[in-house]
Amino acid sequence: MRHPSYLELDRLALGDGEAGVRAHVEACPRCGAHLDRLRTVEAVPAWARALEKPRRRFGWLHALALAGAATATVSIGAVLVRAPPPPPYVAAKGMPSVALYVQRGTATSLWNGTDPLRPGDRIRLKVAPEGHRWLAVSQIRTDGSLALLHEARVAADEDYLLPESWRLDDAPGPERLHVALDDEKVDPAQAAWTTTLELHKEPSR
Amino acid sequence: MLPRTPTGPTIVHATIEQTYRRYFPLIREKCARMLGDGDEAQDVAQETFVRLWRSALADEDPRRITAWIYRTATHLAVDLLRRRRFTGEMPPDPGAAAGLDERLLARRQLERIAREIPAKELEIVVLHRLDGLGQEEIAAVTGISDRTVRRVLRRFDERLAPMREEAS
Repeated sequence: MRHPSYLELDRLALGDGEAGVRAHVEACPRCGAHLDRLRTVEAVPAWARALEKPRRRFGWLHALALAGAATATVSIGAVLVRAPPPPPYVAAKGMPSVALYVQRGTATSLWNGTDPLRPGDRIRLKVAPEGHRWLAVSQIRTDGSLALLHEARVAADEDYLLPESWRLDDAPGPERLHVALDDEKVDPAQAAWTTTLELHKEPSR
Repeated sequence: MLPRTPTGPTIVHATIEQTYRRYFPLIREKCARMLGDGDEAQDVAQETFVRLWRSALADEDPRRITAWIYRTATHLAVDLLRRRRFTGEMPPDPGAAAGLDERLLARRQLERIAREIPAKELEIVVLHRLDGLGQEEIAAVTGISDRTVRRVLRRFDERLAPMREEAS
């Protein structure tokens, strides 16, 4: 019997396997045992937890942005808007995710994660909770503290489109949003899943 | 389930807990295949995970991540194999080694000649012999051409031949 490579089995375990590999595993005790070992849930050890804080995708950019925003007055006005239905978005299978929609004039588009936004743009979030039942969205102030913008109980298995949107002002420096998910209400900074959106703005024209 | 499209934002920053639970088991298994179940395998697994987290790749496509993990863990293990002194005994010819774990046999053969062949070639051999990757998979993971992969594997088999004779 030819077994799939361990790479194929690992990809299957991550939800990215091919039908032939899946069929093989169902009939093969050796390969099935490998997948069972991959599904063994382990407690996250201290050395791994210690990694969380230093992680920065654009560390130098953050530092520059924080310096530039040190004296900025950040205000995000909460303004309800009627946005058109959003398009589908990308997410790693089984993981919570956040999509950000930008309304500029009458056009609404999905933010690509990098393009700078403009003062006056309205932003609206859609969150896939993937099993979590409580959501909090906060603005990260320049001193790093969180100012709660929206909090809600959400359906664990349904995408949640926030009922409100926010207009970006022309204050210098990026806007930073903190999105937190957990099973129940907690301090957003301590939630089971968190992510930060950093929205850079073009200067006012 | 969320739809997948070729465009759209990728603002998915996994937490350490999600990343660890999703990827560490396969890293741990991969390292155990290469190095056994001891401290060395644990060290390499830990270093691979630390690099994965710091690379921020955990937010990317699982296919890219698994290729990256295989490349990185193999590179780290080969580095270790080439530094340590071979202490095991050469097992008999695979054909005569009834009952001997196939993976253990392959690992011992690799340990034996780890310092005699270039690191890049050893990485290819590890992916083939211990992870069971085919030539095309190895080429995709390492970025080395199919032709070179084939040549390296053929050369490795030729190197093994005298060892088999010696053992028998």
